[in-house]
Amino acid sequence: MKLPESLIESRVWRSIVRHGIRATNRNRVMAVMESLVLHLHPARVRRRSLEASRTYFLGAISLILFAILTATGLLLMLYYHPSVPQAYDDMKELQFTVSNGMFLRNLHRWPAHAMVIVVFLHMLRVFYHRAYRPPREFNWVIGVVLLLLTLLLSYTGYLLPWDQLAFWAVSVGTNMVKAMPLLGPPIRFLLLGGNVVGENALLRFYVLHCVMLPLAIMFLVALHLWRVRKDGGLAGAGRTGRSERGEA
Amino acid sequence: MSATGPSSHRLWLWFSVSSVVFLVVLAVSPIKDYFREYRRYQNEYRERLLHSAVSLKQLKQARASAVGVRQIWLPALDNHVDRCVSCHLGVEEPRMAGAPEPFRPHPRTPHTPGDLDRFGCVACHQGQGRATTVAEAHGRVRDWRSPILPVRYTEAACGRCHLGDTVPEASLLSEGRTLMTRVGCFGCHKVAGHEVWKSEAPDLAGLSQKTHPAWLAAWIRSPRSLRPSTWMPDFQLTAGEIDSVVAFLWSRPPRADLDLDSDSVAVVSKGDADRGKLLFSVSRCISCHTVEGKGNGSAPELSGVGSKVTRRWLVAFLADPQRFYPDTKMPRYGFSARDAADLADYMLQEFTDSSAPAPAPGLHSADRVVQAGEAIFRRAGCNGCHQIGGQSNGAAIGPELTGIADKPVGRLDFGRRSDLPRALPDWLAAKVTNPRSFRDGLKMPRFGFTEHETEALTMALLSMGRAPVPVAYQVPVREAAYTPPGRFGELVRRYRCMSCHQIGGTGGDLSTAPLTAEGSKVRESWLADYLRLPTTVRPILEERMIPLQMPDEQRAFIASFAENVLRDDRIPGEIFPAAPAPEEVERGRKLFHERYGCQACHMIGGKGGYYGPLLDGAGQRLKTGWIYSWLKGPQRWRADAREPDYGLDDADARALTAYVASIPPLTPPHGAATSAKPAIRPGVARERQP
Repeated sequence: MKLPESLIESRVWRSIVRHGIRATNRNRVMAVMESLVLHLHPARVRRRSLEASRTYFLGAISLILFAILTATGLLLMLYYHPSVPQAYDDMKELQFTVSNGMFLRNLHRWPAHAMVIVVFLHMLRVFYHRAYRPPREFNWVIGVVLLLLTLLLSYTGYLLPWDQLAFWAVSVGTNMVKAMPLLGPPIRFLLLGGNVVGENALLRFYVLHCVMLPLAIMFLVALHLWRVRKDGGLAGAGRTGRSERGEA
Repeated sequence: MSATGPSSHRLWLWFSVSSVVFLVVLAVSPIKDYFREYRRYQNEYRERLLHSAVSLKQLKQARASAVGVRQIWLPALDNHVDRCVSCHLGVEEPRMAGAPEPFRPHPRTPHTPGDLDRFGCVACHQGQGRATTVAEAHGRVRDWRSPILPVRYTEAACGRCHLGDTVPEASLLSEGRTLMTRVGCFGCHKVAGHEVWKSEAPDLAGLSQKTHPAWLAAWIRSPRSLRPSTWMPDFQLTAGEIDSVVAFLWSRPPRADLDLDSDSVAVVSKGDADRGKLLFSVSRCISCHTVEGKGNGSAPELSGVGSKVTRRWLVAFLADPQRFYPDTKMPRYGFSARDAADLADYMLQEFTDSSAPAPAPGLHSADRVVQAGEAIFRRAGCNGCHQIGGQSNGAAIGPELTGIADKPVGRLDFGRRSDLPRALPDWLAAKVTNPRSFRDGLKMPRFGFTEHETEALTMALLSMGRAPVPVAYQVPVREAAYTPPGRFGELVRRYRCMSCHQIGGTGGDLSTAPLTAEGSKVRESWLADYLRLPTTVRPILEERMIPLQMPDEQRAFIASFAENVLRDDRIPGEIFPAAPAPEEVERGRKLFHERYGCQACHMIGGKGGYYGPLLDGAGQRLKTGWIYSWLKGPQRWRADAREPDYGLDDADARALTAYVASIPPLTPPHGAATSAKPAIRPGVARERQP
């Protein structure tokens, strides 16, 4: 399909896409420089990097799962009130009256479980491929923080159905925090917004789960991907960082 | 990117296969959504509506009914959402009578039809209101807190809003609640709202003045074999434990305020048993007590009492029971010391129990045994019901029962009882019947409840919800109980009028005559005379007003108080300023005998039924305003009145009143006033003698 020249050269078009479409080297560079997505993604990818045994696509799968979770999470937010008797009733509404509500809930639940597993596997893959070595050591640190954020997202989401499982899991979890000397009790107080797992805790966990943690994870994922590119592309099995450096 | 090479092909293949798989998976959910259970029921109901339509309007309505979730939303009742009506579609549709479940209309109850949009379904039946599938809605799924109540226990739900002991039209629940109070559940179990429970069990101070140790031991061993009607349970103690408890109780000091050895009443010498027998029947003791099971049963059985109590104690007790037990229901008769001695000797002679142990001399036990006995006394929870000298340590040795009705089945301890269905009602019934069958070392004694009592108690327990219903739904216990004031109050307390009679809704239910509007009902002169010698008003009743032997001045005071204070302003005084016209009386007579057949229940001149009150001399007893008001709607004045409401118009009611008021007395009132003996009435002859 070819767009008419007049459209491509129009002022409106050029204000959105600054470079032209002619296949010049300059335009190719501009396409990368000026695109948000391609800016994170390397301009060139070696065919070998796409082989399954190189990465098992674990990072990409995590990213896709995160996208699914964001989309279904937003839809779930339409049906959910973070208040004490209502939260559990909303689960029941999803189960019994919302069209495909259970499906929607499960589309959030299973990818959430999967994401935790996949992110772990991703970390193991990076570890066994020795991809944490310089120059990728900082990206490894970001990755560890991302793993923590994933676990925190999973944990905060656990409270939201407000059933017995949720209540006791969070009671146990926050009591474990309390066991920490000195800092334990104030951190628990901060997490729960009080001394009991109640309405305040639910609201805090809701805001953490739906706003703070996803924003943090989005920012760090962007940084993570960008660093992959900057640190020499995807690392594969049996390659140490240093021997690879010249090839990037 | 080029699309050649084996890895690309493989990727494309993966992509296509997984896309198809995802598509299929995605289709499952909408399909399941489409085939929800309630759709089938709604379609079937629609067919039934179409078939039963008898008018064009009904046909149009049936055609217009769309398939979809239906619900009753109750923001005021804890935000309940009951979707039961998505399948139970005919609950309010009389045309569905005879249809199978889930279409048939709800049976008639005090709240249905009519209050469905106030209570919904779950408030009474439990289950899961929000659910739209059969298993989930009925709560028959794992871990749902309140599965649907079996229909025989639905009454229990009435008790979540109706907080009083007596719940109208829920007889089994009311029975269960009354039973709980009587048998002493609250002595050991804490229940919110029953903190101020008062036990009917006697205070054990002064026990050594009242009975003898052998009798006490036999009693503790098996209370029911000495008195089948007692609520004292069998604690299943060993012989050694019983001896220790007896030793402990015997070691308590005697009551200092009851010095029976020098009491002027108690030391009266030998009485006249024959006179005592006469007194026993004239005083109508079996209006409350039973003798070998005969009698009313609201007070203890007397047949074994001669083997139980000491003579001194009995004589002093009969003279003034309230000195012994300040909260007793027994009135204080005006017995003289001689009366009491005669009555006591008759009872000691007549009411002996051959199976009871013979009196043994006093008991002196080692301190060690006494201490062991005290430990058992507390451990077994005896002090939950029995005080000793007004001291109670509030045993509360049982688990709290507040919210027992909402306890999830997963948290019940079934112990050894693998035979029981895993359901709360069955668990409760088994706990009540045989509490120690669950595991060893449990403390709850055995009450020996009948099957009916067990069901009633289970019902009462199932009504004890965890959280109170919203205030707007609560039917509270009457706030302030009526307390009779002043001198009237003193007399009411002395004669324990309210053990049997109700005033302002407070008091016992033994008497069929509440005194709330007594002054609007009866004539002052009749009342004063009646209190001197109560005669039979209702021949059918075994329980009769007892002759309290009041001094004249007290009778006159009570009659005058009733006349002036116990009034209901809705009841007119006299409706005939002059005597009624003879024609009106005659018309009333015809209405009475021919139109309404009142003689089927009421007796006049020894003829007629004996179900209702005698009407001889009704005009001397009742005020015409009362007769008239009563006839216009008996249930207005007593909800449980048996007299039918004929819906009389004013003229008929007036005529009947005129006739009833004109019925002459059997014996002229002047004659009765001068006669010292009780007048022989048809009912008196029927009274059973012990």
